[in-house]
Amino acid sequence: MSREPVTDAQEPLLAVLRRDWMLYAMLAPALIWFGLFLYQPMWGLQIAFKDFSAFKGMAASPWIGFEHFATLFQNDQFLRAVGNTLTISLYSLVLASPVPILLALMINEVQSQGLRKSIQTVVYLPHFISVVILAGIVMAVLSPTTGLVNNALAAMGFDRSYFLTKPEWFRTIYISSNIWKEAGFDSIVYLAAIMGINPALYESAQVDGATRWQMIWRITIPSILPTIAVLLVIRLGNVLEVGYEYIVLLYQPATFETADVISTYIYRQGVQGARYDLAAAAGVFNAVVALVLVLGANKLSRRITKTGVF
Amino acid sequence: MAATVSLKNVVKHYGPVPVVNGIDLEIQSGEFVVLVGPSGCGKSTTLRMVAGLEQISGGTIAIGDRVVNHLAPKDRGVAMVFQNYALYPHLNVRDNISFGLRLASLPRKTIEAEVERAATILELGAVLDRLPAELSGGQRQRVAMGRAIVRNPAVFLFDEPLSNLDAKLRTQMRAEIKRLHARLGTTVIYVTHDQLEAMTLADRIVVMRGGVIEQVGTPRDLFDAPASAFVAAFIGSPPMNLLPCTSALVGEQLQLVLGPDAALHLTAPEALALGGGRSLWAGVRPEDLHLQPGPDTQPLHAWVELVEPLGAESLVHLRIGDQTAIVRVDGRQAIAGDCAITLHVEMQRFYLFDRGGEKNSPDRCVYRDSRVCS
Repeated sequence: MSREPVTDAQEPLLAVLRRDWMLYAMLAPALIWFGLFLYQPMWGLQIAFKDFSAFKGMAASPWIGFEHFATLFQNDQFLRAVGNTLTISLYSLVLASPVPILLALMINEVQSQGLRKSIQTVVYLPHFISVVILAGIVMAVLSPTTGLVNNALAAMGFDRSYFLTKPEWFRTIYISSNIWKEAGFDSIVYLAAIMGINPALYESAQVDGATRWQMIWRITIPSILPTIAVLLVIRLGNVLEVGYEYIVLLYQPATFETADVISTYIYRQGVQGARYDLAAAAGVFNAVVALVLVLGANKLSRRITKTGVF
Repeated sequence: MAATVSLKNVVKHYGPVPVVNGIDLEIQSGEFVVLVGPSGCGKSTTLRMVAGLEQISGGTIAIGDRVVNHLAPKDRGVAMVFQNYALYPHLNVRDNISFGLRLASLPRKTIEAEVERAATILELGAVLDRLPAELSGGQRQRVAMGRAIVRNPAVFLFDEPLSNLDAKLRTQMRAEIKRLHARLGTTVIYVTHDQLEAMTLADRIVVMRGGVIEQVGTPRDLFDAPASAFVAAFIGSPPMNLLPCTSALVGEQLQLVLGPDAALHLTAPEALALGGGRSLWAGVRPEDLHLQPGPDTQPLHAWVELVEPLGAESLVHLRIGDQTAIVRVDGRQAIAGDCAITLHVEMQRFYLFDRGGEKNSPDRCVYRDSRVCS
């Protein structure tokens, strides 16, 4: 007996759940994970608006409105952390974002399959190094007594310098070591986008007389522009999310002036200083700005490249 | 500014795997030549070698009076239209068409004039500012042709340009390509696996099989005088019926045994030269099998399995012995399915091909037009 096709819109939710329960069962672990680790903790954000006391508990702590936010914005250390976060993020955005693209373009031009795979392996590997190891490598390389850089400087007749204690060097060290660690791995997405370009476009351009350089400029880059835009949107959303682990491992009070960012400030206030409510307020501020940036970047991307994350 | 194209013993290997095995082909200036054959026969590779997109492993390719073996594609005077259009998705129609001209840094006015000319020829004026994603399949194909036209090539290369279009659009575009060729007079090499496209467009058809040319000729030649069973089965729609048979000398006749109750007789004296005991393919086109006897027909008993009415004509699927065959009949003629029928084979239009003959030509034509093939 044939059955009339029924659309989901007409079918009651319960009937849909009953019919496709296996699919929903497979979806459940991911939903539970999201709920437990991303949404449930949001309940705790309320302490950003409370005079939180661990003894009274979250529910019994009194509401104080935006007082913590006012405190934060009157705090020089917090404002400095916001400034440092923005500076490091924007420098990373400007300096680090193009590197994976360039790397992908260069890898794509390597004709020998064997050489290409070797290069890919070499540039992907640093991604798998833990930030603790990376910090160790950076410290060793920049060591004023035995470090590679200082040895080279000394060999050239310059004075040895303890770079990690100098605020003016912190951003350069942080961003360049991060580029070394992540550029290769980040290039995978761009390389995949390049691989997805119709080869006939290149052949057609070849018949039209385009050089390799012209093909990169006129075909490859415009073709991966939507991918670049989407990744830029994601990066912009994370502009205030400078990873605190690596900074905590690298910075020291001497470099707080340029190294202290929102996340390390929250870490010091919340974990070390037990000011959970103030740290939560800083976190809420971080999240709201990130949301505005993501929405703005997505809108911009939709306008320019007609592509967006949502 | 059309040019001749000459391929002499052209060979292509991918590593140890031979793809094209020594092709010789002379294409006249302004001629429309279609390379046709099944997938993997080497037709696209041959076209790409002419374009310069594939290096040749041996032989010589000349366009006009220049050997182009080592010339870059842009220096060969060719323009190519690709199967999937190869339009730049981020450029509008105008910029797609003018892409090659802008690369050549031609003056802006020249570029505009060329784009205008191509747009007029291809009726693309209204969509010049649209992106490829906003065009229909037919329009995209026209843009791809426009991009080729503005380069004023000596040779147009088409690589299965209509295979992504639906049947109706394909018919329309086929006519447009034919009109375009008549208007521009440029040499065209066109690759397709569709014999209908080949028949309708070509001045000459090159049938390829297994990396070699099986036969070259006008559509009429290939239809009337196929050199092999392969060509006979490839050209024509529906294709020629090929029925395995065995020859036997019976008195002054050559008997062709198609099955327990099915046999034909060749009475022409020279047919006897074919000899008995040979494994052959009996070839007869669907339109040369009749329901009524004629002056030079022989009867054949068959069983009607299926009738496909197509309007003006019907295709009748039959079983002859344990073989299947198709007959084309007038669409108004009523034929019942699942019944016995007597067919009448037009012996003037009857073919015989070797079955499992010598290695290089296992299915060559041995008999047609009531005479043994030379």
